[in-house]
Amino acid sequence: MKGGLRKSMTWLHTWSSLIVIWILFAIFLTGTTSFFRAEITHWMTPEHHVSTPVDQPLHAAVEYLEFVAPYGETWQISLPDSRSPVLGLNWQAEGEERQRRRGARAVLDPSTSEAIDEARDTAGGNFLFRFHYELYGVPRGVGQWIVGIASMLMFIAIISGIIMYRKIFADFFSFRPGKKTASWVDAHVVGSVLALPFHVMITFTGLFLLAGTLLFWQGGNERGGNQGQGQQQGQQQGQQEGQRQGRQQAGSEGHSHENAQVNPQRGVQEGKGQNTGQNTDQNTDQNTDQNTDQNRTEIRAETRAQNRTESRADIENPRTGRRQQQATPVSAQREPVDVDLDALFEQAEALLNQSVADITVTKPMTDGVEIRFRGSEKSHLSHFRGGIPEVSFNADGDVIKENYPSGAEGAVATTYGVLRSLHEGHFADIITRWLLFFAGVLGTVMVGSGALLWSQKRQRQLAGKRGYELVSALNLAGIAGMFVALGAYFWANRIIPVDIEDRGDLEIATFFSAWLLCLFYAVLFRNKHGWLIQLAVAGVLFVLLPVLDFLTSPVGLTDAIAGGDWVRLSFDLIALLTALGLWTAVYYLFKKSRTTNNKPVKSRAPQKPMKDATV
Amino acid sequence: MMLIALLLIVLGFVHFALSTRAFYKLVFGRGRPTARLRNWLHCVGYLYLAIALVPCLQVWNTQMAIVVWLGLLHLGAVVVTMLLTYFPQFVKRLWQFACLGRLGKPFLPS
Repeated sequence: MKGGLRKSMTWLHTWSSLIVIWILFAIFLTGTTSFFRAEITHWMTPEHHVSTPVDQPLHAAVEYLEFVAPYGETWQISLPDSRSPVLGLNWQAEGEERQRRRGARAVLDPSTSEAIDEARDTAGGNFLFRFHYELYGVPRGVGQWIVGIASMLMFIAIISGIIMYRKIFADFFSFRPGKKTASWVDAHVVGSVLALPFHVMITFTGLFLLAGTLLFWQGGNERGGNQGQGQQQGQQQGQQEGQRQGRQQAGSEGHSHENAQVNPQRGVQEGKGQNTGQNTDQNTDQNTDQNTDQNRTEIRAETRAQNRTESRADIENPRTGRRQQQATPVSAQREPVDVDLDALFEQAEALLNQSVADITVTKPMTDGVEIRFRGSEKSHLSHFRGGIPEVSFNADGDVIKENYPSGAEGAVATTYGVLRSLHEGHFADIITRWLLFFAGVLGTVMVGSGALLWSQKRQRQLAGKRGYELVSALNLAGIAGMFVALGAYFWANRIIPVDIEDRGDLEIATFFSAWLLCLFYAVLFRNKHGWLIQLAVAGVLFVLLPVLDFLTSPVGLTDAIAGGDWVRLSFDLIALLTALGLWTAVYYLFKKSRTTNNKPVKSRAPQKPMKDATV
Repeated sequence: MMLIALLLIVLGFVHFALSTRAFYKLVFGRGRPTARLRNWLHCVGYLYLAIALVPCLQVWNTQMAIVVWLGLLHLGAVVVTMLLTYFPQFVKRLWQFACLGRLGKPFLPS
């Protein structure tokens, strides 16, 4: 019976994963890069590279705001952080009504206090992020189905893989390069077994996040969970908004979720942002708010700032809801009140026990000023969004509001929050982020080696058969082609002229045309050194990425090092490492093709794991 | 702190590695690990892994520390695998000089 079970599991493992393996590879690769979504977006916005960190960026911000919006309604400042070194500001000038979408905003270089010009329109890391859970170019729901089904099959593959693998402990640490099939098995096992907890976690949580889309009978609410009716509209708008590349941020559904769960029971303490925001603006801007509010944690400082003002603006007057009606009660005060922001800042950091990420000033420069400091970290894993502690001061420097959230309420909200946080790494500091990234790379290795293993094992018997050739071609296009497409995507970011219309979409178009090209190439010439050529192309693209970066960015290499823009430099470093890996693979392939000239080159050198380990 | 945790995890996995036949051969020349030795090594190995959680807890709060610890387990396992593949002698050194598993004299082959 044992043998029978193993055999059937092997069958299940092989075929359940094979039918979706290339899409899984793409999902894993883009999903892994999505852990560094903000960082990639920073790299892809070279206009922001000029910004260098300073000790106290607050002064620059306040100086600028006092100039552009003295006695304004609100100022909102997002401080630079480890993921994005720019200072994002936005504001409402005095008497100005709250804008629906975008208020006045600016991105400052904290070291010079000067505004950075409008940055280029780029799809940035967001494209990769969105691609990994809803693909592109297909209706959103369909994309999510496909990804959901793929993750389901992945989950099946994981479980059947554990059952079928006889020597799971005996071979735990073994990796034997240079032994053809055995090496591929080892690579596959290293990628899967050693990171098994991660794979189970990421697949299960991913499935869980898409679960709503797979329940066909639940009334068209594709967000899963039980949402308040009021949220529906917000979601739809969220979807439309989400389609707009370049501006779109975190998955638009996420926020609505949080709201739905937070809203009904919670009082002022916890989901205060969302809650009060909604109460105040029920009639007008609720949807927009959700939409914008949701983005809070992610991405470009500027957009972040912009969004925040809007959402913040609602929050400031939770009781009265005055903000909407008060169109022009200009304050008469012309004597700026003296507030020692530095002292408050320090006090806030001490109170919050973490660094401050952003600051909102309501009624700045007047007696009625209220200054709210928001922390940068979540205190608990169970918060998906929200859950960030904050503290507010008045003009005299007294604490008037404090909010140290302790955890999500209720088992469902907690479970949801934990699963979502785990999948998206919202909680992650830089170390955790790298660890997640590393595990994601292992997952990519697992999927890639699994695909190649299939053809490697069947090369003898099946070569020339139609199905086999199809799989080989798709392997080539799905793995090597994916790298080419990714490289082309980053290149497009720098090469497409800055002022062109729909720039972000063009970048995405480049990504897909490169991929399609690889696919055609793979189908037509798969036997003629296909791997060699595609990997070499990808290698060239990646090795030249840093060069391109320093040629097309306003800041050169030496200045970047001097300025300590490590976000950008790490990107370049990773690009170089990827290139190194690709070239290693090319080298081995080349050597191999010299020795076995008559055989079709189908398998890559066993060094591939090394390669992917650096992607 | 994270490096300490990683080191502990690597050392812990070295114990596990020693209980596999290939590495056992490398260290002791011949034979295969007995069941008693394997149990002993696994116990010590698990102990190492568990202790590695402590430095994580020093830096992060409980929830985060567990996530980081798990991430480090992945990293550590891959590090040990790659070391075993490309620098087996180094791993042997690690075993000889840094592993408490050696204290279990009665279990080790002479």
